[in-house]
Amino acid sequence: MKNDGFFKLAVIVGVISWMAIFAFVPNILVFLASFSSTSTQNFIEPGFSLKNYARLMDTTHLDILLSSLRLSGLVTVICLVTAYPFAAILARTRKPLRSTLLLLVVIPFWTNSLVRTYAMTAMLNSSGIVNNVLLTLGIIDTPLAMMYTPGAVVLGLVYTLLPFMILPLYAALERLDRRYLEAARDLGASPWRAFWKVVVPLTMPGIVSGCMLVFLPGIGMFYVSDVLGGAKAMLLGNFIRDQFLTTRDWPLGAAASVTLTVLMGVMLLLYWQSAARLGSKEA
Amino acid sequence: MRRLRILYATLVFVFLYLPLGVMVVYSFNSSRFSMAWKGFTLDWYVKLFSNTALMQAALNSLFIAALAATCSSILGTLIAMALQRWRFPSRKAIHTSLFVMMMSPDIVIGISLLVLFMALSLPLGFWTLLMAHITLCVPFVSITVYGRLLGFDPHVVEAARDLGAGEYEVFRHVVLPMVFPAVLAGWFLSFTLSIDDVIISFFTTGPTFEVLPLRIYSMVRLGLKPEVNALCAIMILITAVAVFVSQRFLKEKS
Amino acid sequence: MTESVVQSQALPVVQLRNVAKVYDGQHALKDVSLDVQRGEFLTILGPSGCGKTTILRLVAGFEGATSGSISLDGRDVTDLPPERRNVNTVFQSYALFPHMNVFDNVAFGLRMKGRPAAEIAVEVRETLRLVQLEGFDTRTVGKLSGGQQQRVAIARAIINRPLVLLLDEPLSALDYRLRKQMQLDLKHLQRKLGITFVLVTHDQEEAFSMSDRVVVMNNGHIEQIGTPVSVYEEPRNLYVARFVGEINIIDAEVVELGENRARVRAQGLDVFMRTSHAFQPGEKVHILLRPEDLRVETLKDLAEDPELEDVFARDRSLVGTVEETIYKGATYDVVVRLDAGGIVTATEFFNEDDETVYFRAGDRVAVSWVEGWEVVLPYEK
Repeated sequence: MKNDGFFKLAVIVGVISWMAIFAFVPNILVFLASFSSTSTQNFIEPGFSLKNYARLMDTTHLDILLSSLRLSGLVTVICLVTAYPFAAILARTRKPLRSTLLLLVVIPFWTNSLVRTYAMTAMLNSSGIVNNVLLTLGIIDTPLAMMYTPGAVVLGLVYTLLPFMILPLYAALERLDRRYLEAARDLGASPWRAFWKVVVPLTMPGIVSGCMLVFLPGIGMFYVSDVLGGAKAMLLGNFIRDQFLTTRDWPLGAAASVTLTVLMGVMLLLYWQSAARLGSKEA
Repeated sequence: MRRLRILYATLVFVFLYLPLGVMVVYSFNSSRFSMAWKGFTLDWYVKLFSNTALMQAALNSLFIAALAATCSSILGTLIAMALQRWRFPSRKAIHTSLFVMMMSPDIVIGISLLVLFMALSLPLGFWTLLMAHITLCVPFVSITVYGRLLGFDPHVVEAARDLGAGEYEVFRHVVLPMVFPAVLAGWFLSFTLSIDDVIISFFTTGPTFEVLPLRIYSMVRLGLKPEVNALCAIMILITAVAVFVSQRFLKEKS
Repeated sequence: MTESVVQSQALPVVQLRNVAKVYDGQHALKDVSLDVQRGEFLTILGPSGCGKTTILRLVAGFEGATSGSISLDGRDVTDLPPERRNVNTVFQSYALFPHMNVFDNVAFGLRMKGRPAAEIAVEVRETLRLVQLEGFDTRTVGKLSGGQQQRVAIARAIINRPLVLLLDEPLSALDYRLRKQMQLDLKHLQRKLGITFVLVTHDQEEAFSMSDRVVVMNNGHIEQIGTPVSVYEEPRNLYVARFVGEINIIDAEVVELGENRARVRAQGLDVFMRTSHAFQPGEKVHILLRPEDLRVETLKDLAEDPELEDVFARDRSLVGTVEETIYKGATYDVVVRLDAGGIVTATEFFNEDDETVYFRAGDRVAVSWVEGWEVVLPYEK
């Protein structure tokens, strides 16, 4: 019996300590750093000021933030519109085939996103597949310059992040009781109206988590914009990385990171709100 | 209507797999500079394996992934069990934090850990990378195992206690065997998360310990290279195998 | 003018003609034809898998018939989607929209029809009053009890004044007492609204206590349609007889025919029985007797009381030994092993004061019944 208390205590203390050191402390440090300033000797000089946040609000920086939000927003919308019907089809497929198809979705999901971004390069490059095919078919005379454009970045992000939208949507749609749809139609709703009035509200938690899993990484995935967009596309992720590694202005980078975290917080609140409205509990 | 569904689903699958497929095919293309097919060759694979720096990075990645996965599985399982079975202060906070960690963008995690390591004056290399990857993976393992634990009959544990088992015995002889498939699935999840990671590794490792994704990153920035094709093809294969195996484990017990 | 009015009133509100439904190569329904009369409370009764829910889903429009036709109010609706049929369903699991409160759930159908908001508000309140849920407008459906949820489901359906209300085992999730209460409430509601109700259940008692007519189904077929009394007292075959209540079956042989009766011989019996079947002499038959139709007396009492001679005439009573008695509160069952073989169960009312009515195992008894209360059916294997 003495073992009993010891084991339990050890585990609890261990768990709390681990969470404190690796989850809470780092984020607190970043938060504090965002109020500090930088110097040539140290990355972070203690001191309290809001000037980093002020700098983030000036035009160049605000531009970066807004264009990141716009780009990622576009990517999110494209992913949502593409993934929703796909997830719905998947949820309605019969069991044996469905597991196989799910597996086929999961494999790209787990494949290194850098590998997948690179694969997109292979497609879009001037000596890449798309150009090759179009040239051979005679549809064009000179290769299309698709690389290093915002379009390429959008395509690359959509390609990398699409499975992150498919899976939560699928989970929500699969859980949806078909009786609700039947009840709606029984009461006079056409399939289209039943979709908007019943299916969408009831899958809202899935929609929100899918959007979170696409929108937030979309802002931060600097390597996609690096590889496909070159120096032209500056996302918030690139900006943060530059502050930490190139410019060495850590407080500014921290401030940007905190901004991103706040954005995540807002989306999480939206998620919990939509889940609560359905009376469901987050596992 | 049904045909439309099949068509749409197929289109999406094609979209997902075409670039990957193309890359695999071209890893066997003997043409160096263009994507026009010039003939079948295994040259690039050979070149790949003779690139020692790359191979070292690959081994490093595999090693870190396996180690991080193992540590995360242990820690994650303990956390899940503690959350589900015991009441203690900050229980709810921890549960919510795990969820938040899962959702956090990699860059936020990477930056925060970098700041932590700097504050502790730790040199960036193997140990910091290991700690970072464990931090990345633990929430996923916890949530997976926790979900599995929720589905179990609480009376089984009561029966064990009735027969004299203490907390540790309960964990070792009752809980652990029951959730083992979920733990294993968590292991594979962590393994792939670690191998896949780019951003966190970017911020938390140093030149003393190179990992594969970062090597690829520097190579890829320089444009198309056939060896990279071969490398990517291999990584796709490893991922596919890992996914299959982990799914089998999840399926077997359910 | 009056003739056409009479005619349209005689037109069944739902008509199924030779409907068959196949799922994955299995016949859920085989050649079913059924008329549902306007304003009646019809129950489809049968075990799970008999096809009763399938009929409901076909009428609602969630499934299409493999063959045959379905008409509502004279119109062929076989190809009409559910939202265009003037029919509403109360689902077994209620299927209340979890993201809407009570008011929005009940108002849904009227909103789909585009009725003005003011009108809807009035109707919703009125309907909630009808199902005794006044003031529940803003409640969350997830927090309601099972009985309350069920009434919201009913309100949501009847507010649309459908031609037919379909109820899919609506009471199966409720506990015993609540179920009994809801049976009465549903019956009163139907009377009050005058809407045709078609209810599906596997509970025989439920079907009988609420319905005007009962349809007994088995394996995709309709076995019998009739009022509860006729189905119970005059079952058409052994299946129906067994499904709707306890039954004693005695095998016998027809010896002679008569006017609406046949003389049968079995196990020490030689008596004329009431039947409208045209049997042949020598044909084997089943004699069906409900436990409550049987009378049991100890041989000792019979010997002492000449008045009982009438009921327990020699060739119309069976002799046997009591095997056990089962006390059930209001009644008790007497299980008798007959001398000629076989077991019958009789049900008697328990009379606290009359000791002589209390049998014990081992008692020698005679079993008989009131003339005319038997049913004779052709022999089935």
